[in-house]
Amino acid sequence: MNLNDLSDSQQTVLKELYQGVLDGDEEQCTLMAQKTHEEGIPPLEVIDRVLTPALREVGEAFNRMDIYLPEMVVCADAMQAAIKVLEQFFDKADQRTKGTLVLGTVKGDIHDIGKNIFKVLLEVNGFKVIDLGRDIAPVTFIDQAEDSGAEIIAMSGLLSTSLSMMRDTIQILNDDGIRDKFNVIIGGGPTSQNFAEEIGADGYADTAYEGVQLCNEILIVKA
Amino acid sequence: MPGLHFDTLDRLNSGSRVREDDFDKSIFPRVKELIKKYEIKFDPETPVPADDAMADRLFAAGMEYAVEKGLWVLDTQKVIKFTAAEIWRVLDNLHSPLWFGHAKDQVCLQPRKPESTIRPLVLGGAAGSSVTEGEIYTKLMMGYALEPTIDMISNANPTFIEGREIQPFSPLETHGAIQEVGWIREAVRRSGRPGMPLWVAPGAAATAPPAIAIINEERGIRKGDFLYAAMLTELKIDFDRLTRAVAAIENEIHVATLLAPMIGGWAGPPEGAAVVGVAECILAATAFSATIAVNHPVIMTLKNGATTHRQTLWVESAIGQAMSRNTNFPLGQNVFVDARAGTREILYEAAANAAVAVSSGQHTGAGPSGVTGGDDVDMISPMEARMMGEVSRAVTGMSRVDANEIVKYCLQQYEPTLGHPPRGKRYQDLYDLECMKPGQEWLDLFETVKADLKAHGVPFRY
Repeated sequence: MNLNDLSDSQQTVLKELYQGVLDGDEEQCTLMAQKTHEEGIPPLEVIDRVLTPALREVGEAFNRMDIYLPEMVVCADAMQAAIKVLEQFFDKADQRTKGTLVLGTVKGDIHDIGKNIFKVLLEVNGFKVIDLGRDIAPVTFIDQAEDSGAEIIAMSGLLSTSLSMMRDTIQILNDDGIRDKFNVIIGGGPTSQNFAEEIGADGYADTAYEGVQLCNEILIVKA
Repeated sequence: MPGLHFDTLDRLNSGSRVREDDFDKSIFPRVKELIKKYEIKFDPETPVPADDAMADRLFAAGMEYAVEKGLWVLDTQKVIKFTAAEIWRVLDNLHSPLWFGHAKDQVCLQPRKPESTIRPLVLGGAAGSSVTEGEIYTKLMMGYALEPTIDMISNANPTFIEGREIQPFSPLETHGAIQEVGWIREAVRRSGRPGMPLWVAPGAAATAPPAIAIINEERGIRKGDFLYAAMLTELKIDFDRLTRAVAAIENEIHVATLLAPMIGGWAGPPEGAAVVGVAECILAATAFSATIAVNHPVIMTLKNGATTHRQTLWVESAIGQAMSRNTNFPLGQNVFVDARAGTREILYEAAANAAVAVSSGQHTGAGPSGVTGGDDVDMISPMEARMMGEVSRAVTGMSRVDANEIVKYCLQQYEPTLGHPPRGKRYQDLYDLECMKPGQEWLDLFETVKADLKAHGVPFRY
């Protein structure tokens, strides 16, 4: 779809939807998403041409700290409101996500703000996230990943004792002979690239933003 | 009795359930209103503001928010609240001065105000920093105890216990915590400071049982020492940490709680973190029956929890001034650094944070430290604590305007590398651990930075 080929009314609707995401306006996004359908614009085009770039702009503003977590969450909620409308108009073949992650703060650790920021950034970037919360045992990560068909297990922690839990999770995957089924990434205060390599993780990210880029590199977008 | 016994304990499971999401998301919209109502303004050129009226307005904003918002209880998903009258009943009846430790090592905690000439307490330690167990850990603690500017001593985080990786909730956690405090006890004795007060959140332990297992008059934390029971970000508490507080108080041990408002998180900008931080101090004093709160604002962009970012320094100072001007509830300024031992940057970070803390009506420390782990082990030394302590002494009584100039100069020295600091060296490579003396190279660098700071306004006495 070439944007220049769109009618004025179609372009207006798309622009207002884009702005609705930037403004975190759920009502606007819901209304405009419905109007894209009335204007005959395919839902996948709306996601690819409007919602994804809008959210990318939001994510970049968050990374620069031009906006803060609550504002990004409001924008993400507005996006989700638009997607909820558009989902009605998808063909089954249209439905896609970049990939699925099982995410949590490891056992013994209740620090989760970094994990929560990562979750929001992942969702605005098209990933499906199963957020297990905090204080999550190694086997819970694995069981939930298996049950959900997730491609990535993502573990976070702030305490130094969390490192042993990350190591244990990978060890259990190895012992069960299912290590190759999942990509395992880690993040949080005491973690590092060297530690990730030491325990055999597939990746480490210093920041939530880098974590999203890591997930993009690890996974292939499903068509 | 207002406070932990029994207001807090009674209210933990009262009222209707509040979803955590809803609690979190409602913070920023309201805090934005309070920022506007009370005209709280962050100035990046003034990390140490000298605006008494704004400090008082910030306190008023924090008090209003504390009463309105309350604390969310993780285990019950309920919110506990205190009225302003209940809060003031606690704050107005805090006892001071308080004495900690024994014999010649006894120290006095007195309320301070901004620019106060009252001697601040300086707490040296490496909480959060990964350190090799046993003799290295003990010698690091000895290093702090041998610094005369350090009044109290806090722990580090042992990487292994008896060569074994520590698993949360395992019995090894408890064994590790008991050993750890034993090393600290040994360290202060070997350093000739057996009466030094201890301030501990065992690095070997993530959970409450080991933290309580270290209460022991002979070889653990004793009456008059401190046990950490932190709050969770933002405005949250849980049974684990309250359990530590109950155990501490009923064993005549002080509760040190901690607040870590996050710039960029649910509280939004620096002004939001300041408002939420003041609310957290007020509620910490009330809900935990804490003796002191450790002020530890963080910023989203620094993953190791460093407190030396320009914005976090401002939030620290703002909270410190708001609380000290309006209450006698003491605050310690946690000093978490980005750089590692052996670098000039870590010394300027320590100096900046000390200047902020003392001029803003607080005490200094624990620290300097940083969240490290994995391969980042033993990258901390007592020399940065020496800088923190000597600057704390030197700037006692200094005006906020003068302190601000010192802090801005320090920022020039380390701000360019914040987030990607120089690597540094291990403690055992910087010090001669056999005779417990810093190596010449590290000592020379310290003296160079100290001379530079003196030339830029720090009136060192020695």
